[in-house]
Order: sequence, then C-alpha cells, then structure tokens
Amino acid sequence: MKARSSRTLDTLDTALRRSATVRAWGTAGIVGVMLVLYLIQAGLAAAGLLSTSAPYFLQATPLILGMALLLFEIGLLRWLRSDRWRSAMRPAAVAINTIVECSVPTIAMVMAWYGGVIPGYAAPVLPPVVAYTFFIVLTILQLRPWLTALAGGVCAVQHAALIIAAYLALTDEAERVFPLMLYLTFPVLIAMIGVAGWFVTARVRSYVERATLERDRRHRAEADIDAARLIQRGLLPKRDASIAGWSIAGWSRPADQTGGDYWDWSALPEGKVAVSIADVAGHGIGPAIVTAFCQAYARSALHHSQRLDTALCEMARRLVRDMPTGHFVTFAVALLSPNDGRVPFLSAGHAPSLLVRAGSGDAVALDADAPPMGVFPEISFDDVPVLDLAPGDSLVLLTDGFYEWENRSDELWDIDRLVASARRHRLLDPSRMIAAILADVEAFVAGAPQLDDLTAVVIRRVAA
Amino acid sequence: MGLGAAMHRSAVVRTWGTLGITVAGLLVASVRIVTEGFIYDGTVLILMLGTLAFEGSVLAQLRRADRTEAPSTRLVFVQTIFECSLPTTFLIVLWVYGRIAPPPLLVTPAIMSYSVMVMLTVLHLRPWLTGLAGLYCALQHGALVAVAAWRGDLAESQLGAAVLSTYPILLAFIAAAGWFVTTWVRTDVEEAVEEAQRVAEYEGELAAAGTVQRGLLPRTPPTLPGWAVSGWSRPAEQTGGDYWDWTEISDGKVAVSIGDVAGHGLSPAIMTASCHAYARSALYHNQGLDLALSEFAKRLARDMPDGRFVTHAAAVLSPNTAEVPYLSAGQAPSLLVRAESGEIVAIDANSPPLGFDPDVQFDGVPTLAFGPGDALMMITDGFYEWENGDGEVWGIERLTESLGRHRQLEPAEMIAAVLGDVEAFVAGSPQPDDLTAVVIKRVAS
Repeated sequence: MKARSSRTLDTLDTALRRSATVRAWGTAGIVGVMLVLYLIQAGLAAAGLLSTSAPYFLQATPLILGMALLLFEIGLLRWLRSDRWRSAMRPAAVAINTIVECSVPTIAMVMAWYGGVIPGYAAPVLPPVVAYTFFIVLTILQLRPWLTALAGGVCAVQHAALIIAAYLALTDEAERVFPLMLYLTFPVLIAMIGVAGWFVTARVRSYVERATLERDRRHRAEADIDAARLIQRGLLPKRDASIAGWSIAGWSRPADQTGGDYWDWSALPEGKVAVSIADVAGHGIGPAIVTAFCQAYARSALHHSQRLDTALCEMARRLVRDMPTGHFVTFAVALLSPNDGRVPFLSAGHAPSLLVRAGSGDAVALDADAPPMGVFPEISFDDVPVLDLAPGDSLVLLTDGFYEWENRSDELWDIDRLVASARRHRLLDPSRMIAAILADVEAFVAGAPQLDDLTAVVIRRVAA
Repeated sequence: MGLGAAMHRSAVVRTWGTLGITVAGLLVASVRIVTEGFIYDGTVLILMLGTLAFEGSVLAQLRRADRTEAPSTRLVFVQTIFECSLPTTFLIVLWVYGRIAPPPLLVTPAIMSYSVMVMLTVLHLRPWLTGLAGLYCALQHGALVAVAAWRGDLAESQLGAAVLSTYPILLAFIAAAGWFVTTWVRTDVEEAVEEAQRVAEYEGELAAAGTVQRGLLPRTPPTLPGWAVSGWSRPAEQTGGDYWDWTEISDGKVAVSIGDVAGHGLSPAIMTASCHAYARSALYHNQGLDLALSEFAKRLARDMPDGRFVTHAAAVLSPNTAEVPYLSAGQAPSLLVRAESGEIVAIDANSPPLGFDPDVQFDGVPTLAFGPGDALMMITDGFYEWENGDGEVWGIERLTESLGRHRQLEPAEMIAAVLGDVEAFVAGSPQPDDLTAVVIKRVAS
C-alpha cells in the first residue's frame, strides 16, 4: 500500500518536472523572440530609419532585463535537468523563481520612470504592466494553483506600491490626470488575473493528477494481465510428447495478451498419449479462465475414460455448467498408441483437421463429429472413427486463426491454401512443418496484423 | 470521459467564472455609483449587464448542447470575440463621450482587462483560440493607437506612438504565451482522458474475467436430507484466488470443497479455474477423499507455476449420516461448533498446501461426527487476517467467539453474521484479501 502511493507521488513529481521544464523553455523562447525584435528595432533606430526620443538608458533597459531573464531561465533549465532537480521543485524554490520573474515588469517600469522622459501619470502604467500577465499565465504550467495566485498577488502588490510611489511623487494635481482609484483598478485587475489563473491551474492540476493516478492503475492492471499470461502460457506443454513410433510438435501464439487457444498432450494408462487442440471463442482474460478449466476437465476425463467418446461426453457435461453464457469451445483429440498407426480421433466442432499422406501427397480434410462443447449438455457420437496412419503420414490440427487470417486486400488465406501448404511441406519434421506453414500464411498476409490466436499441432507417424 | 466532454465541462466552468467576475464587477460599480455618483454615463453598468445577458445565453446554449462533445467552434469563437471586444468598446465609449482622450485613454485599466479575457480562454483548451484572442486584443489596441496617432492626438505628448505601440506588441506576446500554455494544458487533459479510457478498457476485461470466474461458483447450495449447506465468496478485486464448490459424487453423496490459491487478482483466478475442474473430476472419479486429493495434487503440481500453491479442504456428506469424511491440504483451521455446549473444535490440516509435492499421501481419511445442530465452518484467511485501521487483525479468537455466538443460526445467516462481526471490527478499512466461507450444518431429518 505504501509503495504504491509513493510511486504515484513519484510520477506526479515527474509530471511537475516536465511541465516546469516546458514552462522555462517557453519563457526563454518568448523572451528570446522579444530580444530579437528589440535588437531589430534598435538596429533600425541606429540606422536612422526609426525615430526614438527615449534616452540611451531607457533604451538599454529592455535589453538588460531580457538578457537577465534569459540567463535566469537557462539556469533554471540546467537545474531541472540535473540530478538535484527535486530541489528545484521545492515550494520555496518555485516561489522565489516566480517572485523574481514577476518583479521584472516592475523593475522595467521603475527604470523607465527614472529615465524621466515619460509623463509622470504614465510611469506606473507603462507597457511592462501588460507583461505581468505574461508571467502569471506561464505559472499555470507549474501546476500549483497557489503559485499562480501568488504570482497574481505579488504582481498586484508591486504594482500598487509603484502606483502609490508615483502618485505621491506627482505633487501637481493637474499632472496626476487619473484619480488614484482609477490607477488602483490596475492592481485589482492584476489580482483578478491571478484568481482566474489559480482557477485554471487548479483544473489543469486535477487533470494531471488524474492522469498520474490512472496511469498507475493501468500499470497495475497491465502487470496483472502480464502475470496471468505467464500462467496461461505455463499451461501449455513444457516437454515434447514422447511415444514410440510417433513424432509430435505443437505451437501456439495468442493474438493479444491472453488467448483462447491451446494444445495439450497427456500420458494415459497403457503407454497411450492423448493429443488435443482447443479453441475457446473470444480473446482476453475471460477465455483464458475458460481454457484453464477446459484443459483440466480434458486431462481428467481422458485419464479416467478408456474411450474418447465417453471422455468427450463427460467434458461436455461439465463444460456446459461452467461455461459463461454464449461461450463455447471447439475441441479435437487423437489417441495414440505406441507403434500403432491406428488412431482414434474425435472432434467436437473443431474442423477441419488434415490427414496428409506422405507418399501420394493426398490430403483429407476431417470434419467435426459433434457440435462445439459448452452449448448442449449432452453430445453423442455414433462411434469413434479410427484413422490409419502409415509411416510418414501426418495429422495436422490447427485453429481457425490460420485460415481466417486476411491480407490487406481482405483476402483470406483460406483452407485451399492451407491444404496446399500442408501438402507442400509434408516431408518436413513436425516442428519445421508448422514453421513452414506459418511462413506461408505470413508471406500471404504480408504484415497484416494477427487478429486471432494461432495454434497448430502436427502428429507424424514414424517408422519404429 | 472523452476529450469533448472535458472541453464541454471546461467551457461551462469558465462561463460561470466569467459570470461571477461580471457580477463582482457590477457590485463594485454599484458601490461606486452610490458613493461617487453616476460615473461614465452608466457605460460600465450597461456593458456589464450586456455581458451578463450574453454569458447567460452562452450557458443556456451549452446546457442544451451534447455534453459529451466539445462546444461548437462557432459558439466559442463568438464568445471569445465578444469578451475581447468589451475593453475596446468601453474605451470607445469613454472617448466618444469625451470623458478622457488619448494618450491617457490608451493606458487606462482597460488594457489589463484584455489580459483577463485572454487568460480565461485557456479553459477552452483550444490553443488557436487563445492565440486568436491575444492577437485580436493586440489588434484592437493597436487600432486605437493608430487612430489616435492619425488624428494627431499623440503629437504633443511624450507618451508617443513609439511607446504606445509597445502595448499591442506585448499583448501579442501574451497571445504567444497563452497559445503555448493552452497547448500544454490540452496535452495534459488529453493524456488524462486517454489513460482513463485505457484503464476503463482493462477494467472491462477484468470485470469480464470476474463474471467468468463467478460462474464457476455454485449457484445454489446442495440439498440432501439431514444437511443444510451454504457457501459465500467475495473477491478483494474483480477476480480472486478463493473458491468453494460442491459436486455430487455417487450414491447421493455430495463433496463440499473450499480452496484458496495464494495471492489475489487475475493470476490466481486462472489457477482457481484449474483447481475447480481438477477437484470436481478427482472427487467424482475416486473412491475416498485421500485418493481424490492425491490425484488433485498430482495434476496441480504440473500446472502450478513455481512458488504458487493452493490450500484445499473437502468434506463428503451422505444423506442422513452423521459421520463426515473430511480432509484438508493446508486449509486451516476449519471450525466445528457443537450446538449444545457451544464448544468449538479447530480442525488442523492433514497435509501441507498443494502445488509443491506431486506425490502427497494421506494416512487414511479422518471423519468428523456431527450431532444434530452441529456446524462445520470452512473459511479462508481473508476473514481472520483482515486488519482494522490500527493494524490489528480480527484473529482466530474473535472468529471463534463470533461463530460460537451465532451457532444457532441457519448456515447462510451464520456466514452473514460472522461477516457482520468482522466488518464491524475493521470499521471500514478496505478488504485486502478474498473472503470465502462455507457452513455445513447437521439438521434433524
């Protein structure tokens, strides 16, 4: 619990740092542009193209202040980039930073006032007064509502002080032009900008905090799902099946983090081996849970039943109770005996499976013997068909992810292409054969994303 | 919530803000009118009332509009132009009425209100709009300066066109700063919205997984003569590692199980699905709990990832039979409460949890003898390890005491009462682990 909240704070700090860095860059950038414009103006004046009555001292003021501000922001950026960036984010540091920036317009006006070419009444309302807003607006990016309010307050107080000083300096009533109350409307408006800014910043911060929180939640959900995927992958066979007279390979790749496909083999009494493939409708975590119990039921039922049909009937009965509404599973299983080419094979909704003859290259597509499981509590089989595999013959089980994969022209790598591919590669080792079929479909779709899980099993009869 | 909805809400909020500021301004103006007489020919008052009416109509339009979509570009554009025109209108009125003339006219507080208006556009979250507002303000002020210069009003003054034209230039820089800030603010908002959507997607998936997992729990308790059974489970998150189950085995016998896969969240949920299926099959196919649990252990050891384990206990009920075979692999304690005396026996586990050793062996199956009204509570550690705000666990003693007090209740009510006790104890501290309880009670047939 503790670790979690400190991580949230950590990411929030990072967000604050990023925003503060952006702000410093923005300030430096805009001040830089101002300086460039100013230099152009000064150049034009020097060339006599622009007349200016201000004395040299007043002309230099914006240049000096602009340069100072630029250096200040560059220093701040270096601080934010260093290892000690956290100290630059302390409230005291950002407050001082803000106060310094907000003093720039005041200093500019005071210097202009001392320059003395401006009518007295205008001294506290010279152009830099507008620049107060500039600094207040930019504090929004510090994401601290109090800081924006502070900026407004600091600017308003400085300006009010300047007004009172200037007003008192004007002893002649006629020179004052504006009543004091009118002058003081300026700091009131500046304070209002601070209040509006506080409000804006509070809203922006709430968004940043929410993003941080949600990101944290997302990371935890992702970790949860990643762990679940590992568990699900762990349910796939970890060792190759070994049974005399047979060579077996299986392969599975989910489309997203967790999938609804699996293949399995289990050793049964009397040295037999059951090899199965299944496809649970849908992807995501729901189907991952379904595959877990489906596989467990299949293993138990195959172990306890001597016949495939009774095993599948038991599975179907159990699955229909546990299966969420609208879900189903297609399942096919082959029962191998050592050095015996006769293979009982049953499929509940899983089709086609391919029986590829090594010699002739003939391929037979095997249909399903019953509907998928999970829908009807009772399924029945007339008998258990027995395939006869000669040495070199292959039984290829795969899921529809292969032959329903579309290329970018919405063309399917259909069953005809699958059959052709299986026939072409029938002499390869089972694992190479799967790789070759996968290479064929991937060449066909040419980079179109895999939308469905892919699982394939090749069972090859080998000479004893 | 999408970006559009965020923009809509933001627009509503800022319009309320503008209304608030205007009302405050009206109050100030009223006070000044009372104390100093009618100044500016009531211009301020009229402008403020006009603003009030305008912002009110914007608010009405926003309320009518679709809340999930950003306010129309036309609306925010008109609003911005209206607001940014207010200072200029005010200055022109002053000028026309001859109250004050340039150059002082051009440095009245109105130049600050331009900035207020630009600031408020930030909340529209449209960078171009803030930039436009700033530029429009700069242009208006620049136009006033130009007109004054053209009329020759500035010729005599030290506050000449060169100084006065600096105001619009600085306003243009505020436009740039505002555009910049709004761009980043919008990025932040977009990020928040995007994260929220992704989290919602994940949580939808987790919720779907929770539905699948809940589907594995019994929908009804078993009914067999002489017994009343009830079970209840609530995961700490959407999915959990606890389960309970019952299954008919043979001769009308019913096996009742409880299990707890270490950890909670999604990974144990997948394991519970395997446990549920293996346990059902093993109990069905084996005569005797010891054989069933041995088979269960063997299959689990293959599927359990390293370091994970499951505790599992099962009891086999026969119709009208007081003797109950009971076996526990690491699941402890189960509590047998005697109806008469209120005595409570804590029943230990018969073996370590499953998942480590594929070849668990049991020395036969102990049986529990139930008198009428006696009850067996099988319960997961989520109950007695739940801490209150002071870090104090509820503990087995409190559980035992609670069970003793509620021993006369029906199974379902007993679980509810025990849950009520633990929840009263923790006083609102969040449930850290999955909770599952099963009560088996011998009733007169």
